[in-house]
Amino acid sequence: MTFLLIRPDSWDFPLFLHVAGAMLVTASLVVAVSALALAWRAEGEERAAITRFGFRTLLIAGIPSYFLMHGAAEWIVSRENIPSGDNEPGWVGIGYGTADLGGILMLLATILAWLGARRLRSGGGGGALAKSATVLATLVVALFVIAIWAMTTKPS
Amino acid sequence: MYETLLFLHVLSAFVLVAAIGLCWAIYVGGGSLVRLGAVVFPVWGAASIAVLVFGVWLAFDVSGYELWDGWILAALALWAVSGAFGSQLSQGYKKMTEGMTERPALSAHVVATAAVLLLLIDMVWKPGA
Repeated sequence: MTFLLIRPDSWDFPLFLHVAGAMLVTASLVVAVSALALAWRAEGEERAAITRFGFRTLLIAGIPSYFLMHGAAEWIVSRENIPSGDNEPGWVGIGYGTADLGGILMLLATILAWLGARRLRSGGGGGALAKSATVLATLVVALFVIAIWAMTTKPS
Repeated sequence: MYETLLFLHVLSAFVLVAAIGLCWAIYVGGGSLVRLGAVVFPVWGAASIAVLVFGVWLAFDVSGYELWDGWILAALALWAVSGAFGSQLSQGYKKMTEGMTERPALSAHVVATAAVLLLLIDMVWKPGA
């Protein structure tokens, strides 16, 4: 049997924004990965269109959601008075690590998908760029699963 | 045990939201993205069941939560709404793939999404807990 730990009501809104942002960024990445993976099998204009859809998903939905998730995380940390430096709990460090690395990889994936979509549209290749974007975006999804594990189980 | 159940419950909820995101992608993108429907709806169903199972398990595991608490009953009702509309969307996109109908109504997407958004609000604020 587990006993409840009640958090202050004032934490609810930033927590909601943090979780909603995390869900949206993860969903955006899954959509982008699915579209980009689907483009691997497509050809011609269809391939360019699906790749462009994956790029736009990352740009319009993924990146803003990432900032919502990260900004709300900062808000919660400031409310909870979590110690920083050597005394920082492990789960907070994992959260920051996965979010920062994930953010950089997502930005790279967005740029690669953009370049890939442009080249595919002009008929000058670009498939390899789009495939690289797929791999990077998939890695970010894996990082975010680790973050979900850290946020829910709170190791150390 | 609590941490593992919470992780699985939350992870299932993330998968559910991703499935809804894919459903919106099919609606907006149309065309070749319709093929994703073959994967999206089984995943939606599995995630939906996993959210329920781990959520109910948590309610039994945590002292202070009861299955008949108002916020848990509200969550169960919202879960049923999202599941019902998810099933409707699944049927709609299946018919669309077979060339029998147009894409499912926008309202079905909005209601399923709103139900999940309200579920998240309910889970964070836990009104009455």
